[in-house]
Amino acid sequence: MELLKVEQVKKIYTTKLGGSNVQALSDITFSIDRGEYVAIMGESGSGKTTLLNILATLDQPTKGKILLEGKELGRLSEKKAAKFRREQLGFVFQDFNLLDTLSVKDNILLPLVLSGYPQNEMMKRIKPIAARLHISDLLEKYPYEISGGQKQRTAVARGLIMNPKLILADEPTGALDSHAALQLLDIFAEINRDGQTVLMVTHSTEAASHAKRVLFIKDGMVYHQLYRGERSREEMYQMITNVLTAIATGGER
Amino acid sequence: MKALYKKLAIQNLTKNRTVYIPYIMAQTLMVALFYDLLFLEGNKKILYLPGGETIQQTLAYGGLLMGVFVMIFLFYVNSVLIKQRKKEFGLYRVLGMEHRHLKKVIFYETSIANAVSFVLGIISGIVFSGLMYMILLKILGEKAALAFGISGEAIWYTLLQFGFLFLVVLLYNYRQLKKVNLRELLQEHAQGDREPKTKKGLMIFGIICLIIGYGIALVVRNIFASLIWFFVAAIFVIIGTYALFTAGSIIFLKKIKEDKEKYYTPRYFTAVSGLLHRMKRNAAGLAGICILSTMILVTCAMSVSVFFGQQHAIRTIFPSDIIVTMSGTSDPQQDIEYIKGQAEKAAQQTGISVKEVKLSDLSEVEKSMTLVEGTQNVQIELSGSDEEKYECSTRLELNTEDGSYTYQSAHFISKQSPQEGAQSIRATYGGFLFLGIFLGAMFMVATVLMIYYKQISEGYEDRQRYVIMKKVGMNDEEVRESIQTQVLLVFFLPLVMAAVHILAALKIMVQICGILSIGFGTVFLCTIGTVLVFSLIYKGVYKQTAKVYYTIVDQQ
Repeated sequence: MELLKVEQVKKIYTTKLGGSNVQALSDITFSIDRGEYVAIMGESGSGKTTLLNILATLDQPTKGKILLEGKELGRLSEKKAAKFRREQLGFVFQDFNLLDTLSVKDNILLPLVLSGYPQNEMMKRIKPIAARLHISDLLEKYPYEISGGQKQRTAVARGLIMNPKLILADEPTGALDSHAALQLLDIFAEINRDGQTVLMVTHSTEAASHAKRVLFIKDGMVYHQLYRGERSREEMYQMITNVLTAIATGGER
Repeated sequence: MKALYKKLAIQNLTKNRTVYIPYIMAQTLMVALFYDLLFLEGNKKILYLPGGETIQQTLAYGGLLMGVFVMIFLFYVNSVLIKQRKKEFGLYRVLGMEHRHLKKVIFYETSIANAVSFVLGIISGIVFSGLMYMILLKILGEKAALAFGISGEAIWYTLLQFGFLFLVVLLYNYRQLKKVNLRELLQEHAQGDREPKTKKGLMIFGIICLIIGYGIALVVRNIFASLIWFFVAAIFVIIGTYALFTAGSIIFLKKIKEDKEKYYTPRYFTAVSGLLHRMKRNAAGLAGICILSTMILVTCAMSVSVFFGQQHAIRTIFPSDIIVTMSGTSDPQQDIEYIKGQAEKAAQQTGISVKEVKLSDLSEVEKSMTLVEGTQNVQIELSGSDEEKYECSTRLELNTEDGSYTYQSAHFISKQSPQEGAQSIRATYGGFLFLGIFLGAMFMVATVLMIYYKQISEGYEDRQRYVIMKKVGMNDEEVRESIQTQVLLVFFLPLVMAAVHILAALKIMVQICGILSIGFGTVFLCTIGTVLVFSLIYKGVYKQTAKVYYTIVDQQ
């Protein structure tokens, strides 16, 4: 069943001093079904961060529509957009974006606090999620006391705690060492198996090869896409590399 | 090459204008105030006014006090500014500037900032000196005349004071440059402040200091010891305030945090956790704001009391329209009859009537000041306006020999009317009031500046946190609410504390004002009034800085 639908989205930035327009996205169309695990790949400057910001309602498209379960997100008011982000989306960022002044536990609870959940409900929710992400022992620690991998798992827990419809991950492995990165990708695969829809933006072939589908963006357009199907991760890796080479050398698809 | 350093210096100042403009403005104002004080202190016209000498002495004392305070305060502000910019200096070093080059840039920066504020300060000082002169005359009850003048001497002394400050600041800034550690600077300071530990001992120490300070303020009985004890109590209270803010604020915030129902709400959650983590560095600033506020309140409350208590004081010292003091009288009744006769004559000439003539005891103050044994006062009450009474008093003739009034057995020592005495009282009291306004204004500038810097630096620190929270789904309104809670706590804790300090100081203030014959009621009402007015101003400052804070946090 279709969860997210992006229809002919276009984004043009106008520089402050009048003058030139920069086209970040020219025409993007794709859709994501419930329970999918999709990676979006592209070189820097290809428009993938712009796309993610628009999906996250942090930015608005110049043209086109974005529908989540048939409801249009394009022009939500600031207040509604904040509520939407909090309740429907879970975020995982490259640089974790944890608050140093909150303990791991409080960082995870942040979206619940902002939504005004009662205290006992918060405690009930945090336990299973912390156990699933192997951070139960770290709950009372502060972000500056734990490793990068642990920080990112804390961020994932924060993203999951509202039971969001969609997890948006922006280069989630970018700041991690290879071991922690693998561990995180396993976690994504695991939560996806449990039915969680995941959309990840990355330029790491390794990370993308874990996804069930990979979209390639070039010059603000969807250039190509790959389904993993029954292929192994190694095969998928090889195929992604081929597409990337084709993009880089300007070859035909 | 020289031009480059100059250009860099100007560029740095404009780039850091959010912090340098308030600094330069504050210094300008202090230069202006300092110049005006010196101008009035050395003004010949004031010296020849009745009581002018007293006033100028008071102003000289105030000038000394102000000089010391200005030095300490501006030095402190500069040190805060320069420390914030360490990273910038580190970057210049990495880009290939040598230590001596940076020194030159710093030299130009400090020179420009100081020269600009000095010139602007002197100019506004000269412009406002006329106004100050008028206010002073008005307070003295003289006919106000606008006088315009420039005092070379005052400029010279102001230059000396601020030139010295410039040197000290420059040397300090050089020292800070030397301390720049490149490796440390270039590493991201990702490590946040740890959650501070609860320091129960320090809090108890603070409470004890406060109790001692308050105790002294409440127990002292001797009027003349009041002044000295006031300072002793003040020192205890200052130490106590610092200790209490350092330890108490953390304990207070942890209490909120422990109350889970309260803590886990959008209003408190981020604000309390954020405050808690930076309280270690913040507490000193808060205590400083608290103490400055107390200083403003005490100075203003006393000055206002003196001003409003003036009429009452004149009435206390001169309880009737004319007082004739006599000594060595053997038949008081006969002397009184004589005085009454003379007074009626004088009253008739003026066109008014005598209401009552009676013998009275000396007041406590008079007893301590009179040297002649067996002195008695005769009070004469008149009907009519103040001018008529004064006229009558000058017309009253008593037989005198050798400058003292004699009649039969009695020596009349003096004849006084409130109108005559008022002049010397106005000189003394007016001097206090004027100085109070001056010092109050200066402390106010200092407080506002401190609050402003606090908000700015916190705004920059908090920006990243609010960016994250917005991404996670906090809307603008919630951000505003959270900021409000935070700023409110930071602002009103010192104000409440200052109000408590004032309450404890009230008794000693009443005693000191008692020397000037100002009653409890006046001091009490004036203090309440001052606290209310100050709270309003404080609230205005709070609103303004909260706005600045919000703009910083909100910018992308």
